[in-house]
Amino acid sequence: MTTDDAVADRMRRAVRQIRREGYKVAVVYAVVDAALVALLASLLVQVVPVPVVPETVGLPDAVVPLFDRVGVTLTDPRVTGASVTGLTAGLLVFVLEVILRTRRPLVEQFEAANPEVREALRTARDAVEDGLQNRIALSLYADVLDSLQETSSVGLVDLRRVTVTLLVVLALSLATVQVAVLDLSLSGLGGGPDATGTDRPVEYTGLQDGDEILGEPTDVSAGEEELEAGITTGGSGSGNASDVPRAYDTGGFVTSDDVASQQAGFTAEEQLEDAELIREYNLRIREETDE
Amino acid sequence: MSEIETDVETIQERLETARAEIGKRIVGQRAVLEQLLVCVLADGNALLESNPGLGKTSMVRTIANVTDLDFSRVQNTPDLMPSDITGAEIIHETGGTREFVFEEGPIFANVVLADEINRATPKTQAALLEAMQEKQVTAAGETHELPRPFFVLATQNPIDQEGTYPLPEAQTDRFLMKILVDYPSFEEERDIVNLYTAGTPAPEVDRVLTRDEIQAAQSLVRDVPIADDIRDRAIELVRRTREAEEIQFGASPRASMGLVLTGKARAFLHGRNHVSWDDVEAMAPSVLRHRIILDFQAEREGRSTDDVVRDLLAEV
Repeated sequence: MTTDDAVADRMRRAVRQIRREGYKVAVVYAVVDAALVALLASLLVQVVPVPVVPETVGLPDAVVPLFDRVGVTLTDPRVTGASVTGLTAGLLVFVLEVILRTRRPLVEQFEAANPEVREALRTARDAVEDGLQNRIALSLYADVLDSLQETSSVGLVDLRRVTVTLLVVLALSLATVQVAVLDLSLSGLGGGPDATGTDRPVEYTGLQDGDEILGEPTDVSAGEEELEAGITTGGSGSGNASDVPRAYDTGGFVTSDDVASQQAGFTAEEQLEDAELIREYNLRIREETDE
Repeated sequence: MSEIETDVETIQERLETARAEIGKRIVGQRAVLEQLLVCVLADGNALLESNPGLGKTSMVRTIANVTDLDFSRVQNTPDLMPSDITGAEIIHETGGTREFVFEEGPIFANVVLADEINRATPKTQAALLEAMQEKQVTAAGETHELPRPFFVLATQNPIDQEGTYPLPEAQTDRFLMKILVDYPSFEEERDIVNLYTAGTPAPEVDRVLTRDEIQAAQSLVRDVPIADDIRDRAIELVRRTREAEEIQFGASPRASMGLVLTGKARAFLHGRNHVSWDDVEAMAPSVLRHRIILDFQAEREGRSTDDVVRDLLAEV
């Protein structure tokens, strides 16, 4: 390799190194911002329940064996919806920020942080990529390589901004832990049960497993508490025939009030779900009977 | 320090010395002088516009003096014929035999000052400009190469336009730069008066540049690297002149080439080994001003081509 080739090669390597530094800085910013957004999103979902976010999410089947492989046995392979929301938002921010930060040429970002190589560095980059090795280009490479000794990629990072972001991340982490411990929830703000206490009709989502709600069925032979009850009947009064007690068997049920006939049906809005429930029960029973 | 750098730097130092030498005779006009040297380094031709008495001829002559370049001057008049500039075949008699011999005109010099070019007829102008472009002259079917390096520095007077033949736009495009020579400041004018009225002869200047060095410098100038984005901005600037509302006719791709080349030459003259946007910005007015024609509205509002170029520079 000639001296000229060596200078050009050094320049090429320097440009590669500068680009690498640019990527590193982009990743640093992206990680910090992603952590901030992830914590913020997770905290928000914990404090203000969002209806579309389930309380827990089961881990995909493909993931569970990975835990086993590293020696962690998951008894309940589920994570909270808030964690999933935070993780998703964080990943999104990370990817977007890396893309955005690397969209502007990294060499020019480096120049902005190091004005002593302003315009010379990008010219050297373009020249070396075009394979220029004439006298002027080589003297430019030599000058730029000399100037690069005085430069630093630290200027690419806004330390104040990163520090402030990290402090916010720390504060959010503490807040997240606190919320998890206290189980704080601003019910009513995010569409959960109404804060006023007014019952809302529960949307019917199909039959539920009774065992799941009530627990395992157990046989009960008899009640543990015995109560004695007695009904005494006796005649009294002025001899009015209607007041005289008489046997139900012979006279049937007699009442002084008229029994109003009622049409079977459901008028209240909330009873419509009950009707659906009954209909479904009937259909199930019919199916079982058919079988 | 490597041998390569020494070579380049030596030429750059010589150029700096040449500027200093010219400064002994020419007071002020640093910007004009810089643009003239840029034009020389870029191997182009310049059109100087100024009122009479501003030292255009002295400046061009001094440039020739600090180098070992041949200098000739053509005073253009309406009766000047093309052959008066390019040369003609004349009958030469030696030993009783007569033969046609090509007698070189004043254009056969390294530095040609064509004074008041707009006073020559279009036919003579065309002959001069063709020679300027082709760097050769054809007479009686024979082509004669002009000496190298070769520059035409033409002057024109913006006032007293009666009896002039303004250069057509297509021909002005052949000038790499149009340089405006303005009046000197009070202090500069005082120094000029002192320098040339003190009864002492005009200061001597040393010859510090050879024609070989100038040609080497011209070759090095073309090697000066330019960043892609700076080059693209320069091209974009020229393209904007074709789309700007105030401009009736914009600059040609020759202007793009000229802008990049003069940017390189200026960078070299300043001892840099890369083109900066400042170079392009500094050269843009003189490269573009004679290549664009403003529309009637802009002219009525008193806008100049330099105003429009300045606005376009702020946009790109």
